[in-house]
Order: sequence, then C-alpha cells, then structure tokens
Amino acid sequence: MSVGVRSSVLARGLVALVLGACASACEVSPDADERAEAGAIDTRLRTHAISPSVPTPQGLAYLEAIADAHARADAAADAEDRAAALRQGLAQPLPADLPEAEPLRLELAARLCETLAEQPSGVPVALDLLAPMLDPERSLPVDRASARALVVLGDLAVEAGDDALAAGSYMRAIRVMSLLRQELER
Amino acid sequence: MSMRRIVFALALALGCGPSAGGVGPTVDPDRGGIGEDPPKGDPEDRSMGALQRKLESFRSKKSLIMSASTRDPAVCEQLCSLASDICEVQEKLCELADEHPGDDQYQNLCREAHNECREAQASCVRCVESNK
Repeated sequence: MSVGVRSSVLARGLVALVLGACASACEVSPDADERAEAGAIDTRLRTHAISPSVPTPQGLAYLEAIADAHARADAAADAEDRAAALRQGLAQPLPADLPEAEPLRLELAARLCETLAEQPSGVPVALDLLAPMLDPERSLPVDRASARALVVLGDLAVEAGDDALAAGSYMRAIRVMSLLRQELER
Repeated sequence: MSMRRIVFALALALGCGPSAGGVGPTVDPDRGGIGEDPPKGDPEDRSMGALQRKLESFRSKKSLIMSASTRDPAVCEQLCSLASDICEVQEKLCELADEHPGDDQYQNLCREAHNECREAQASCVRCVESNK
C-alpha cells in the first residue's frame, strides 16, 4: 500500500501541477454582507482556484515528504503511530510557490483528524486542529480535499454534539463539490 | 458514320447521357438544342453563400454530435463520484435536520442539499447517456 499511496500522492501533485490551469474560474466571491449571525449555522464559503505552478526541486521534495508520511501511516501498527507519522507530514514546511500543496495538506490534516478521533478524547483535539484550517473566513481551494476535510469536520462536530458546526460544514462540503461538478460540466 | 450516330456521340461527349443524372447540359426538345437543367427547388440553394451556410450548419451539427459522443468517460466517472459523495453528505445533513424539526435553518439546508444531490445525479446520468 505504501508504494500505492506514495505514487498516488505524487501523481496527484504532478497532475495538479500540469492541470492547474484548468481549474480557473472556480472562484466564488464571498458576499460582503454575508456574515454569520450569533447562533446561526455558518455556511459561508470562500474559495479559490488552484493556480498552476512550475515544478521546483523544493516542490517535488514536499510531494515526496507527504507521500512518505502517508506511507508510514499506512504501515503504522496502531492509531498512535499513524497519527505521529501524519503529524510529521503536516509539520513539513510549505514550499513557496506551490499552491498545489494546499489540498495535499488538507488531505493530510483530514486523515490525521480521523485518526485522532479514534483515540480516547481525541475528538476535541481533532476539532482544535481542523476547525481553524477550515474557518469560514479562510478561502479554501476548490478541490476534493477541501470537501473531504469539511466532511471530517462535520463528523467530528456531530461527535462533539455541535450540530450547528456539523450542518455548516456538511453544507460547505456540498457546495465545494457542486463547484467541482459545475467546473467539470463546462 | 450516320448523322444519327454523330448526334448521339456529341450528346454523350457533352455529358447528357443516361448516366449524367441531370446535372449537366441536356437536350431541350422544346428549344431544339442543348440547354441547362431546369432549376430544382430554390435557386438560391445553389449560390456560394447558401452552400457555405449549409456547410457551416453541417459542421456545427457534426461538432455537437462529436462533442457529445467523444466526451471523456473519466469526466463521467468524476461526475458520478461527486454525485455519490454529495448525496452521502446530504443524508448526513438531513439526519441532523430531522433532529431539529422546528428549526428552519436546518430544514432549508436539508432542502438545498437535496436539490444539489438531485442536480449532481442528473449530471451523472446526462454524461453517461451522452456517452452511449
């Protein structure tokens, strides 16, 4: 599996590098007047397209490191070791001028949070990690990784009993996927 | 060679034999000589402009047919996978809405999610149908 995940991540990164140009016009401008009211379900979604970038040795090294982190997580004996491997991947410094790294990082974070949630009292830790990364004020890349991370956040919120956060996250995930669908249909 | 044979050979040479299909000059018995085929249909159909327009029309029809039939199957796969994921998340969202029956926010989100699910499924079906 390690080779499969590694090549999958590398291939994904390279495909994103090459096809990034196709992901134009995905940007959804946030409504300036749209603000989350107190107690309301926050479904605000800011997005941006992933701009293409020129592959650099640093960028490729980052992709390699993320693939290694997934591979080590796959080979881990238990959830704790898996979380450690994924944390190491997440700790990798983002190379400059590699926007394609953003979805990879979100994917890694989502997997880490799923792993953390398996551990006793891991849900609040996972929520603390993932919620700021997906804050409605932050712009998310229009990518399946954003949708997946939002779904994981929704699942964590359900576990934590925060239905408003769960509903908002699920709706935002659906909207990201809807944007991807519209992009494919063009 | 008899006069009759000479006339027949001349007629063949000018392309008005039985195989000419009426596209070339023909003998007009009323005029007693060789003339043009009578026009069939709208005379404008034979103008360069009309032919150009017809050609463009055929080209655009062909490109429509081609684009529908040669769409990348991988796109359909992605559309259908998205539809499946959207509908799965919609179920989660509507389960939450069921727990808040009196809350319009939840009910509206459930409705919106349901519509997104239906649209995504329709996209998937359209794509697959166009690839048949």
